[in-house]
Amino acid sequence: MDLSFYATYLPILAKGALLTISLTVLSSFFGTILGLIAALARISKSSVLRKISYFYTWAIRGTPLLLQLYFIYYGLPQLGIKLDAFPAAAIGMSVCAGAYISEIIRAGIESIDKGQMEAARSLGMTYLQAMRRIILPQAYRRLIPPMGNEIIALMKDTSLASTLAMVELMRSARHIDSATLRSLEAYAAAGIIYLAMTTVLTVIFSRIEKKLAVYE
Amino acid sequence: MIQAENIYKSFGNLTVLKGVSMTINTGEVVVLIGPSGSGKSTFLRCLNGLEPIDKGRIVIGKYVLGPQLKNRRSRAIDKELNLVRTRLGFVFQSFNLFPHMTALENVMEGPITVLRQSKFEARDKALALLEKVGLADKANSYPAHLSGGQKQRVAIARALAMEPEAMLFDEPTSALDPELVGEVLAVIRDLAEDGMTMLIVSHELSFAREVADRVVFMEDGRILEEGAPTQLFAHPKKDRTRNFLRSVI
Repeated sequence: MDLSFYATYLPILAKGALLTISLTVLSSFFGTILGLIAALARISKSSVLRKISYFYTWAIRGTPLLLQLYFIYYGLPQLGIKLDAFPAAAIGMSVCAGAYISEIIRAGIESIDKGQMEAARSLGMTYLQAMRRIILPQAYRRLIPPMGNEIIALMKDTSLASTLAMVELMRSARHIDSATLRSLEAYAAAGIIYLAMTTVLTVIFSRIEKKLAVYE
Repeated sequence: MIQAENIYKSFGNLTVLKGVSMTINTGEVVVLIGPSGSGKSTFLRCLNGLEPIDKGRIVIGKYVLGPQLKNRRSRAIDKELNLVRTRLGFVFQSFNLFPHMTALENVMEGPITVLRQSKFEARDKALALLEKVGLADKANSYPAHLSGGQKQRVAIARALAMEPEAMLFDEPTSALDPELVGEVLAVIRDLAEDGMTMLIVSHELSFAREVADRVVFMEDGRILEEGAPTQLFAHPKKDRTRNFLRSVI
């Protein structure tokens, strides 16, 4: 181990980590929106919407993320859809996260007692008002622990984007490794940065969970 | 005020309501009794559209509900149904308070979200209603910290906040410990004295005798007998009614 090594290469790793963070933030955000839409479609009264949503989660959860990323980045250009590495990775990861998050949200919504929907409707609320005011706020609390897991997994999965020529944290470590042949230092440093980031996520989610526990 | 004509309702192969007709006049208190499984609760749930009916007609003020409710995708029908529901307050056996809101917020929710009232207006009214059901001091408690009787009184206040023209009670005391039944019945009694139109599904026969203008006995999806409580309890015309009354008392 050589400490001066870190002084030289930490900025490179930090730059990679920044890219990892932006990929994670973007794909959690759009993945949650996609997941909410897919979950509402899955429990809707329209059989067409239900089938589309079912197909989406079936196809995405049944194939590896790496394949999905290759499909978007290397496959789609044949159809004239050419994306840069960053948007390709962000879209691929959002679509993938959305499929898993939709199952989390659906389970959360279905775990709410059906008397809640009936009580809301009996006051004259529309279905959407009841969802927004009564069901989702309650489901939200139950979603926090599995959502925390999902977003932590997502952060680690961004390392797959390194295969699309993206210099995120994992790829930065590999560059340093091949330039210096200091494999141990390079990967240990990247590992510590990953750990630091996932720890921050864990703390954030357990804070949110505690804050939402007031009414129980 | 409420008029149900020849209501039929099945769940799969099971026919629960077999032609139920009932008229409830403004200011009248009707108590619906009968053995479990006789269709009392289902009938009540049909009245405010929680269950769509298969046949018949329900007239509530100027609104008419029919089997068309089965077509739930129609926005126009959904809208009309919501208007009906704002006119009828519904109290559930299991309270169904919103656990993520305080007692006060539970009562304010309908007026704010559905009637688009301002927070201040809704708050004043909600506090007055909590006072009326004797729970002004619990305004900021969450349902998890209330007893069953307190929860049900908040639920009644929540329904009243919509200023309904009639109240429907689905076995409001059945989920309560015996010592908590009285406080809920007292609130319902007050409402009766205020002249509220009410349909109450209940097993509390002595309460029915006291507040009801009319008692309706239902069995096997049909109305068998109805009348003033003194008459129906003392001199039931049908054997089935007599047997039921004997088994309950």
